[in-house]
Amino acid sequence: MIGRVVGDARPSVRSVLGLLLSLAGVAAAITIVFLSMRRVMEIGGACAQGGPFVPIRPCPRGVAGLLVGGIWGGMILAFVYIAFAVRLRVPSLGGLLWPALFLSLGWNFLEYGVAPPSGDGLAWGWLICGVIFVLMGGVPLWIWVSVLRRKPSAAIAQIPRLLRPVAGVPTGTPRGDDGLASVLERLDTLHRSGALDASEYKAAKRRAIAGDR
Amino acid sequence: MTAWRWIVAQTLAAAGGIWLGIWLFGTVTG
Repeated sequence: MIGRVVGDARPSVRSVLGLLLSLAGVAAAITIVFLSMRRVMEIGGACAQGGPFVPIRPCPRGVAGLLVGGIWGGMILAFVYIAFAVRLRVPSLGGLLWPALFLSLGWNFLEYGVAPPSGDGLAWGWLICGVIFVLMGGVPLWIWVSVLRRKPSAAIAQIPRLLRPVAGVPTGTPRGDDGLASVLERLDTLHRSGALDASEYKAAKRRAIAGDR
Repeated sequence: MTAWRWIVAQTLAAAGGIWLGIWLFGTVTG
């Protein structure tokens, strides 16, 4: 499967650039959120700025903007990336984005929960958050990996049908089924003509349906 | 293009994005 030619025969340069740049943007956003969160945790886990009160602990320079920009920018670019992957019908790393976000933030909670910057014992609040985040990221990752191991073709744009119109992919009959239908028709013709006997026909049909064409 | 080439291209793009994120964070906060 991994060596099989996938996607459109001649994808447009714009789509390929859009796919790669949006993915790079999502990776940058997750990295920025990860690093910003660490910077805030290093000063105790909370900060504030603006408003009528003088904050006791001001935010480190630029971190508030980076966090907000990283979260929103990352979400928007993730949708853009998935849309490009579906449109191009190529394997997507979309299934890894959610685990990447939650496992990396969970790591921050666990690291600072075990050794808080304040220096006192364990920070139980952060440890609990860490466990929840690791579960939120780890369980989908485990499901994603087990699905791929059973059915590698699931890596091709594993997108809910609902999102396909957004991505410009026709709903209804998926494009891949046209190929299967014509293979089945050809096999049927060969069987009727006597070129394939019943057992050969059955075996070939089973292989075609299983995707081993 | 084969599936593995798409995956390699996307992995490189993601790695580039991580580098960009580290650079941007350092530039803004540093």
